[in-house]
Amino acid sequence: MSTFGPIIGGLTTVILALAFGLALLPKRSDLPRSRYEEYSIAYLLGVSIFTVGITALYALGLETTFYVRLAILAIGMMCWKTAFRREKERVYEPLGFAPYQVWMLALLALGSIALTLSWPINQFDPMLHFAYKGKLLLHHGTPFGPALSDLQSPDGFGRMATHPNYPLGIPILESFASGISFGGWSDRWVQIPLAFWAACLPGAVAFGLRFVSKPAARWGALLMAAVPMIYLRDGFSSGGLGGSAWGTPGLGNIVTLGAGADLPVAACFAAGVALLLRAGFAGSLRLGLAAGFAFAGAAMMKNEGLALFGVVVIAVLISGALFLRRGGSLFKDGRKAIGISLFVGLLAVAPWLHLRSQMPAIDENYSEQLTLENTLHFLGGGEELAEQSPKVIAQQKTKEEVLAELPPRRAIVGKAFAGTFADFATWGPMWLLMFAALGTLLLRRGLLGDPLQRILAAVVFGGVLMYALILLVTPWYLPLLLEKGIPERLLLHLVGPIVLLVGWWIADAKQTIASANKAKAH
Amino acid sequence: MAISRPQGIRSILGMAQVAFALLPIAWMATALVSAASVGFEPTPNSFPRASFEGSDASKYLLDFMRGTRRGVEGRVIAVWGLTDGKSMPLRADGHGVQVAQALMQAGAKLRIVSPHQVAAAKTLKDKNGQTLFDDRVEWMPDPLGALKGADSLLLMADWPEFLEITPEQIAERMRGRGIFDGREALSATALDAVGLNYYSFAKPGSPPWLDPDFQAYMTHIRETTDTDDAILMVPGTRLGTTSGRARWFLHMNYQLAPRELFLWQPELGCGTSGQYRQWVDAYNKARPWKGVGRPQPGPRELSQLARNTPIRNLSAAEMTAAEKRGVDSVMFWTHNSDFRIADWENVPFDAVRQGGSR
Repeated sequence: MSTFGPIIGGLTTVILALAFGLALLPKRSDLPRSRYEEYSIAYLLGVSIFTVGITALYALGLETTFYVRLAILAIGMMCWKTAFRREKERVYEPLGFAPYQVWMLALLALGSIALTLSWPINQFDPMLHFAYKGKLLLHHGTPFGPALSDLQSPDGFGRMATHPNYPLGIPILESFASGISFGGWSDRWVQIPLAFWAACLPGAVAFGLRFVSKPAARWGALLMAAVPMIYLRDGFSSGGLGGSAWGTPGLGNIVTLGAGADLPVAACFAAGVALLLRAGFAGSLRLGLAAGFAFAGAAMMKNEGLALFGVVVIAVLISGALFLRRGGSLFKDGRKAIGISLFVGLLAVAPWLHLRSQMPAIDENYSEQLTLENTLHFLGGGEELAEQSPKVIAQQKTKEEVLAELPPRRAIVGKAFAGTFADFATWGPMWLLMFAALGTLLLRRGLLGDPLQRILAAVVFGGVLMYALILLVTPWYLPLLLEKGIPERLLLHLVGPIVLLVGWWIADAKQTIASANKAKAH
Repeated sequence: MAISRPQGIRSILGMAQVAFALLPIAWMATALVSAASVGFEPTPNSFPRASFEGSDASKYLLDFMRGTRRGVEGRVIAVWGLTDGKSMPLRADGHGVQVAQALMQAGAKLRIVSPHQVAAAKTLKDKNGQTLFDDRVEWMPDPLGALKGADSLLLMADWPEFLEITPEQIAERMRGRGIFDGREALSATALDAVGLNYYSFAKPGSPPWLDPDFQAYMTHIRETTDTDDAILMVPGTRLGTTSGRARWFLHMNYQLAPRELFLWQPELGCGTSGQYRQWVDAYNKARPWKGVGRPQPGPRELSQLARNTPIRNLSAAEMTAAEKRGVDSVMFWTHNSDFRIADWENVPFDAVRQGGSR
């Protein structure tokens, strides 16, 4: 198989996604930004629009045939034209990074892209949960059909699929990159559209914080780029330099980069929150629309994206941003923009929910598990599900023997979270900073501080709480899940809003916002 | 300071976070160099070496040997190496020593090749002060000499002098055919080609899809089937392990897509480890292999071990499922965590149909 075709296919998909994102962003004169911020946020937004759009096509019963792919390509070209015609004067407003900071960001971004493409897809989840579906979409042009739905035939025989109801965002990107290339499927080059998450995250955070101040935006970008977890986990904690992260660098499940779904959820969700903040501050309905798409994009990457969008909806409601009239950084149009983002987000995930309802679920149904009864049971000291311990199943130990070695479920969850928060090799001091930021917000400014900050804090707090509750009620044997790095992988999804909150806190830009509000009022 | 004016503890904490960028930068540089050094294609060598754990390995070997006609009692086993490194000190609780001792106590006759450790081994004592290795163990200086008339070969160290020996040299000298590898250091395909039975009892450090035998088999199936073929996958006999690594069908489903692969109760077989164990249990209770008979094995395209074929006739339910789905072939397998080409055979459905069903 020629290498040239798959590379062209991958790059075409990237350019297409960028085009969709650039076309939806407001003009630079209306929304100042640097080139770095623009391309980062545009890519994440574009990927979201792309995956939401194709999922909607599937939900309508259409197939991604060769001609449909060509039509999408044509639409993408029109978007490029629109975006570039609109921006006749290509004036960017740089963030003013110091040269060493530019080097640092560039090294991390280029390194993450190069490393993603340096190995073919080589992990269990990316291969079997996502790339398999990518191959099916490439060959059949639709997720409907026996390959994903024939798991439970009456005669007992059926097609194999791990998690058939996982969302289609990553398979859509992989299959499009492959399908547009004429070069067939390549386990390495289908990853091209998936190679930019870590590179775009800092730019997206900078974009989200620019309205606070340029220093806040710079802090945000640098803090985000420096979180080890967006590239790898378990940096030093397993055996230091001889440990797994360094023993097989770039391979195995300690790598976050690659064709998995956790980093894309984190990236699209970070873009959604960044766009929401800018939409609220600028009162831009167009940005509200963009934020809605980005939230839906996160839901297209992994089911957790849906839950995170739910957290945003609740956070906006409990923050009172939509109905409390105390100004802060939010004006009337800002409230409208936020409302639109939620509405668009709901509309954009609807096709996926429709598709999902027609696919068999293999072993996860957290919405059924997360009941008040279950939560209270485990909070009240409910035991671990020892009957699912591999040793009990293999009859090497009795359930009672396993239980005797384990504390109640709530203690296991608490310890796992505490361990994650103190894992500096994976996160740096990010969690320390987050607690400091949240604490300051609550103690010094009270709950009625800036509405956008309240939303941000509620998203962070709500997200962590949601994942703690999900682990608390998980119907599986928790110690086994913890071995797979589950808390880290879940908490990674929240890295965007956390760094937005921390960047804002470090820059301590109360005065900046106040003066910006004055300027807006005039 | 280009980030912002210093603001006390906040900036210091922020800078501490930013300093962590050095970790991913160093890691990515290492990873890129590592990838470049193997041509950007992962191999089993890119991962930690395969190893074994004394008590698990002993249990596996004893269970396996007891299940054969030859049994353990009196079985002559050539043992190559007891420790990882030649000069490593021998310990009574070392993994290799544990395995050798378990076999010896079960009645096997061991010919141990570990020239640098003979003196130390003879003085090894257990917790009760008893000598670990007695007269039932023969200490041999030469690995080829130890193979003469041996029933089995047990490889526990991947020293160069062991790996230089060719499969032909092994086959010529041995009486039996069983090769047990605790380091995944021998080539299963090469041993199979000379009629030797290869079994790994190692825990591999690399993922299943990098197994060279699995890759060879996938290439064979891709070359001998069309991309729109439908294949029914059925185990030839009882599923002997619940090891997750034995789910080779999952990886085949990805590697062979868009070919349609059908499995019995895939919602369990592809599920969590708990569901997979239920699937193994359910299959062993359903026993579709029971009483269906075995057709005469024909010549095999890849494996020389024709007598090891997993082929059997289909049960009535399997035959109906195959006909209903219009399958082109039936893939039979023996459920092992180590991928051995001898355990797999894809047979055209017409040939299977001639075998009939009961």
